[in-house]
Amino acid sequence: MPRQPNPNFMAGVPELMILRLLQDREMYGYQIVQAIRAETGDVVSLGEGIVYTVLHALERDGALKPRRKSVDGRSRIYYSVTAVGLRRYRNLAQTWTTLAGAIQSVMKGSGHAPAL
Amino acid sequence: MPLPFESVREQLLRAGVTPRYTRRYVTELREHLADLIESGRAAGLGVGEASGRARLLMGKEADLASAAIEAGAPRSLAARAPMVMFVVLPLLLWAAVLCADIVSMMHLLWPVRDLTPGEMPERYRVLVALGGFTARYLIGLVLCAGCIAIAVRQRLPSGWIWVGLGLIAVVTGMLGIYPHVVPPEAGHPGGTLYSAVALVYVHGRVSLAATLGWMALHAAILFGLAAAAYHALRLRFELAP
Repeated sequence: MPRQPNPNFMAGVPELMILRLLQDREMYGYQIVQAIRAETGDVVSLGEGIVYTVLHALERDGALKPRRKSVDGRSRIYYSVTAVGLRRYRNLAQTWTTLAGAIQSVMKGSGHAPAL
Repeated sequence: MPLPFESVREQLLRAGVTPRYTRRYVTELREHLADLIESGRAAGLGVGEASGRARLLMGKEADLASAAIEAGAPRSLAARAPMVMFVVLPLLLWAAVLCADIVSMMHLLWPVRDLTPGEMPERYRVLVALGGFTARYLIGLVLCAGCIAIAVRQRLPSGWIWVGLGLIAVVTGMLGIYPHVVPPEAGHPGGTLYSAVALVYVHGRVSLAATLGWMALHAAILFGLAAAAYHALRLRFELAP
């Protein structure tokens, strides 16, 4: 069975996760998808083919840097995070943390959440 | 059997995405598919089952192509500005190469400027022939071939390409490097005069009709060759009109 795509409110999450994962080591597309699945216990599953459009968009924005490498006779494109990517990650992470906290507050019904 | 993601390649190219980006995207998708098949095989699945599962996980090819286009895959100059790519740039390039050809010919033939081609040593005669061939045929042929290659490779609609091929043929038919023998006269030793236009002499005088006829024939032959090649390739790649 193919995995179900994540719902709409996950917009921006793949970007956040990719930028976080690539801070530890450079990876190619397949590794990134597997790493996201493993790290989230299969809760977040990035479309196998769609990951490249996210990677390429981040690359165009200067957040990622690609590097072609031959491994076991296969040519791979490894991605790593740039300084721009690191800044973008910090902004995204902060926004996401604030948003998650706000949603939690609403769900618990406990007062006002901080403004984004 | 077509290679996986061939339809993604076609869709992207027809949407004007650069061939370089298209090649990279398709290569990454193929590598990803191969990894998924490998992992299925490692999990104990048969080849057919592993391949089928991998294709399902990758998603529909049409969706993969649309996702890339919607995500802002880079569009080529030929798709964004076909007039610049197929008309302006070839003509500028044509002029630049012709100028370079003329300047290098002047420099190389300076030592034999007072000789007619018949009196020149062999190596200079070869130079005159090569320079003339380059200006009269080679530049036009190479530019037409370049335009056709770009148009077909990027699966582009044909409007501006026909205009470009026509203009290259006309300019190539009109201009070039043509040696004319000047007989010695009183006070002048004679030699070779080079013109940028093919002047056709009839009974010792330049004939406008014959000159225009020669230019038209020259242009028609070049355009005919280019058009036939382009038409054949369009049929081969099933390109839209």
